[in-house]
Amino acid sequence: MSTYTALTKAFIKSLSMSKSNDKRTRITMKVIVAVVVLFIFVPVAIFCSLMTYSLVDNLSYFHIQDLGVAMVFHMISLFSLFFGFNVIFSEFYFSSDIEFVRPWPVKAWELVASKFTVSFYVDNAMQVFMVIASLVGFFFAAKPGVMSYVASVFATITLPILPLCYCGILSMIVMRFTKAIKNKEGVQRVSAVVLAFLILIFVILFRVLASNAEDAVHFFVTETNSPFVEYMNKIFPTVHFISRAIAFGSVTDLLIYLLINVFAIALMLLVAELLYFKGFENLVSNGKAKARSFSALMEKSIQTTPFKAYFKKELMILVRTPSFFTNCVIPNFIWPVFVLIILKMQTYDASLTALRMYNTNRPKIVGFFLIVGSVVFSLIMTSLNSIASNAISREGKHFQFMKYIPVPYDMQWDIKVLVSFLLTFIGIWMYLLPACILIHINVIYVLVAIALSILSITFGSYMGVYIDSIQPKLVWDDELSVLRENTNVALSMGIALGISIAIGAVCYAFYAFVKVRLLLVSLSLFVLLALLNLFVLWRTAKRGKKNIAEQEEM
Amino acid sequence: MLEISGVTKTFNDLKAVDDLSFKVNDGEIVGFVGPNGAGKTTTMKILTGILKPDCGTVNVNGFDMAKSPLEAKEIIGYIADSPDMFLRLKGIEFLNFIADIYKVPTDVRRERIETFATRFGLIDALDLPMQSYSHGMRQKAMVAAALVHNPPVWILDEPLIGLDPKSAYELKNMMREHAAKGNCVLFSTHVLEVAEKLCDKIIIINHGKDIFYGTMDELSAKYPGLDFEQIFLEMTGEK
Ligand SMILES: Nc1ncnc2c1ncn2[C@@H]1O[C@H](COP(=O)(O)OP(=O)(O)O)[C@@H](O)[C@H]1O
Ligand SMILES: [Mg+2]
Repeated sequence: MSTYTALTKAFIKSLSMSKSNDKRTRITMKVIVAVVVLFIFVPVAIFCSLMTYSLVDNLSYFHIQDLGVAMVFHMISLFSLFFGFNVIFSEFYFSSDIEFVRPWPVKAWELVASKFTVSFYVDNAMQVFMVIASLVGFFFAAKPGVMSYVASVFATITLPILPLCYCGILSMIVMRFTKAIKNKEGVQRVSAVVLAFLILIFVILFRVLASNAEDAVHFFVTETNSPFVEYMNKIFPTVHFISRAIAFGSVTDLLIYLLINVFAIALMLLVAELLYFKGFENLVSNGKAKARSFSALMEKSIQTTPFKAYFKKELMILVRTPSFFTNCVIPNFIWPVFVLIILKMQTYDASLTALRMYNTNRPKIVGFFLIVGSVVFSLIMTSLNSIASNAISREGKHFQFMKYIPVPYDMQWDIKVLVSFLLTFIGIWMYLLPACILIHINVIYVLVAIALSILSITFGSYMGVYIDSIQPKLVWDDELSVLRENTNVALSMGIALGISIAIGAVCYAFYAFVKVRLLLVSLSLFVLLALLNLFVLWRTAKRGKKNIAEQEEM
Repeated sequence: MLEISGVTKTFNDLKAVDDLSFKVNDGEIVGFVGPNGAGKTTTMKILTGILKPDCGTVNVNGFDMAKSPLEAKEIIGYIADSPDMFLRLKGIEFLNFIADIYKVPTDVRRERIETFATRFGLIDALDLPMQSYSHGMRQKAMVAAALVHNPPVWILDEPLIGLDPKSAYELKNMMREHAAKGNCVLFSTHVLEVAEKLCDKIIIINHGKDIFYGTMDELSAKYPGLDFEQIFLEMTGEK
């Protein structure tokens, strides 16, 4: 136990040491903290309080007020689970002090226990805040006894233990049995993707529920229980007992709650004994293992064409640089989340059956919206992900590389366009095409929409690279600043938005005041996009190469 | 063969290179020496096609850089002055990428990568991202990449900076071997001893103008009784 205490103290000290001493940074940090508290903590806290208050207030009528507490606690637990991954992974495997400690004769469970404590200490401000806020809501709604107060204190301190234990166990399993994560950036990448998909699942779940409002309400509460809470109780059994302990002041429930937490921690420490140190072996492969794999590396060293190699390099840079990955790659694949959120806020019925029915009754209007929509959306998406409008700036300090390799500038240019095209096109149509098929939209309309979308994306991509080539932002410190501070990105977004609004307005006017003539609309869009493409291709041919050849800021 | 004639390059009002002409013959190692800001890097960027000169021509093995840039670039191996390139790639990926760009066949590249990796002690690092490399390791990876297509013309901008003694020794040997096979090597440095020991000829420039071009013996003959360092300081007017 004393090893544990000593380690924990040391880790916490090393945390505070890594804080910056620079005055300016400290002031900036204070401002950031204030903003976070004001705009995130306070609204979330108020939300938790109000939600618990109204739930408990309504449910105590049926004597199931524990469900109100449970619902909010489950949400807080989910929150801990999602955001715990990053912290737990980094603390367990990628903090610098681990490197010092590992050679010492420390047992795995001691190390994990103290690292867990540190993560708990680092990560918990938000959760504690949320728990307290919802308890305040509870105490206003109910008039509980002394035991409830005691249970509340326990809940405040210990509620996130179980979710974080899950994170800990999962991280050890992942590190032991896979090679998926090799560094901190890997953790961030994986958790960004996981989070995006979880949000997607949640939104879809919400959509499904909302298609029938009564079912949705019943999913959360019926007069005697709550299917939601019942499902969630299987994941976080602790919540069930602590919310009963708080709501009814039950001592047995409190004891069971504490027992489960102890059990969870014990389980995690057991897993640590079995897996924790072995997880590092995957991470730090020693020289011998590398020497063996040299022949494997040679085996994979096979010639490909310059075109393919350059294309692969562009993709690797986009995917492996965290800020490019989250800003340029991810948006192409998670846009349905935002569409669903927007649909959710609208009042009209967007369930599949309704859409199908609408399509059978008025196929032309659906086709019209599909065609115009995919043109506009393709344009906006192409500029939004800024793969093209950042293509030259992205090279940054080693822009000169483009100039001394024996690869023609137009080939490099086309590859950059191709990368933008493929990521955007695949991202859009991997969702839109199945949607069209599900809604049974006329094949001809879908084909026309795809064709026009292709023209739209090629135009957007060539335009982006061209604009960026005029005066690329080659001097930057980190990859995020080249995205945020590059005026070329903003400019090409502005142009894309302008054209989109113009197309949208004209087409809407057609739809509203004239008859919907699909053939005419498609043909004029085709001509317009073809002209735009020709124009930008002509500019590229005329000035593009020169822009690169004459660029001397490096 | 590498030839530059009558080249001038101005940045805004600053003449970084001023009517410079010289020739590196096949089989020669030529050292390019000058104080900081003398115009060495700028000259090398002109030689590799990165910068366009205001006037004058660059000729690489008979190819004019302005008229047939791709052919000229293909026969150059260039090491830039900063090795922080493509850090997101692993060493092996970077080497293969460059080998693909220069169309090096599979078996040839395997042999060369193995040679470089062994001579530079890079074998264990090949499978790691270059971000995790030290400055010296990055420099070694750059050298290996620049030379993986066995280019007949080497243009190396301060190639020895950051290399450990063993790797510096290896690189110097490689330069000698390469020149002995009838290729040409131009490298810039401000370490005078290196130039003195390694080069067949040296070019000294200052403020973009060449103030000496010839063999070491010619240089000593011109300033009898002075060692190379003294001569250098004398010529660049920093004494
Ligand atoms: N892109 C540029 N824009 C403006 N001035 C430059 C640029 N590149 C180099 N210079 C200037 O040209 C001169 C020569 O620089 P450089 O060739 O890098 O010298 P060296 O490599 O010999 O130290 C320096 O005064 C430098 O400031
Ligand atoms: Mg220089």
